[in-house]
Amino acid sequence: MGEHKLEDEELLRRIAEKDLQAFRQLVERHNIFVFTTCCNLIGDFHQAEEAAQDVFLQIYRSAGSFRKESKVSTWIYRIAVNRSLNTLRRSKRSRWLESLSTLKKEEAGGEEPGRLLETEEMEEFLKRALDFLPEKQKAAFVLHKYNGLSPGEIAEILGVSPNTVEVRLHRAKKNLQKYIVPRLKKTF
Amino acid sequence: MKKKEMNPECRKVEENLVDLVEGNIPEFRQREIQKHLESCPQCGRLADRFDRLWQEFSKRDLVSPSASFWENLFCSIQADERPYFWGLFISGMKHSFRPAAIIFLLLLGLFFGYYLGDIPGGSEKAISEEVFIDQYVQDFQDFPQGSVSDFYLKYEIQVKDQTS
Ligand SMILES: [Zn+2]
Repeated sequence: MGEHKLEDEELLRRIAEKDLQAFRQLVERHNIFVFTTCCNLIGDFHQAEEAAQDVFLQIYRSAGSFRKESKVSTWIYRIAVNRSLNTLRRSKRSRWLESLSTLKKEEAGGEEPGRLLETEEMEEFLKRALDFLPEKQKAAFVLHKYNGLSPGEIAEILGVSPNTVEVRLHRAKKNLQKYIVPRLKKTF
Repeated sequence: MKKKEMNPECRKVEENLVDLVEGNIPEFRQREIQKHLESCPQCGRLADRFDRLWQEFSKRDLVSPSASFWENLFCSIQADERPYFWGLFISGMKHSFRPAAIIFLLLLGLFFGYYLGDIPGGSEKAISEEVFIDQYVQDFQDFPQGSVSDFYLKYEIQVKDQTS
């Protein structure tokens, strides 16, 4: 993060003048980070791709309104987090229905993390564990664990203090523990 | 059925698994827990499985979007630009509308003026010189016999008959 600061600003200035070459450079530089964020927050590849497209579209449209109050990358990742959380909120109802069927499946003993450790379904189990988190904790956890950002960097993106990020991270971990432990114990 | 009371040491392990696997526990506490894990197979197994599961969170790589990501984005940009183009077109039209309308009306006036100028007015028929001689002059018999006018008229009719 930050190593392309000047270049990013220059690219953004050109994008404001509808320079597609500059836009492509910016997309190529940040699309993996943006997509990883969307993917892990939303938990669905296709929805994440749609969200990431929207993120860059928004950047293209509002490049001229960038106020230089933060790094370009921070601004981009903030848009990515907000867009992903919006998608999450929109699909809350469908995810709630999905979680009901998951619960029934778990009650029937159809899903065991102990067994899942050896299977591809591990991904699905971790995804569900993340879905268990409130969105603010989830955002902090994903940016920290999957995107490898420090609490300071996450704080800039989320627009909160580093201390708040630390608290959210701590709560996220404790909540994940609450979700995982009883399910692990069931397999003994 | 009364719930089985949990061993306080086992509870401590269970409540501190995340801190334990992330190494966020003071060293003396860590040693205590480690000692319990060795003596309690249940907690030992739980800690081991939790650790393996937890590592999965950190093992995840960054994810790349599909190969057509840029292509799709480019299409969206183009679709986005279209209203912008038409917006420019319309605003351009607004500025140049008055002179364009004036020129258009002028051309329209010229065209109709030219076209209307070629059409005979009212119920009058456009008659060529030829038709005039055929239809009117031949029937004109009012000149006195042998006069210059009579002679000229007969001469004209004669020439006309010869040429046709
Ligand atoms: Zn124990």
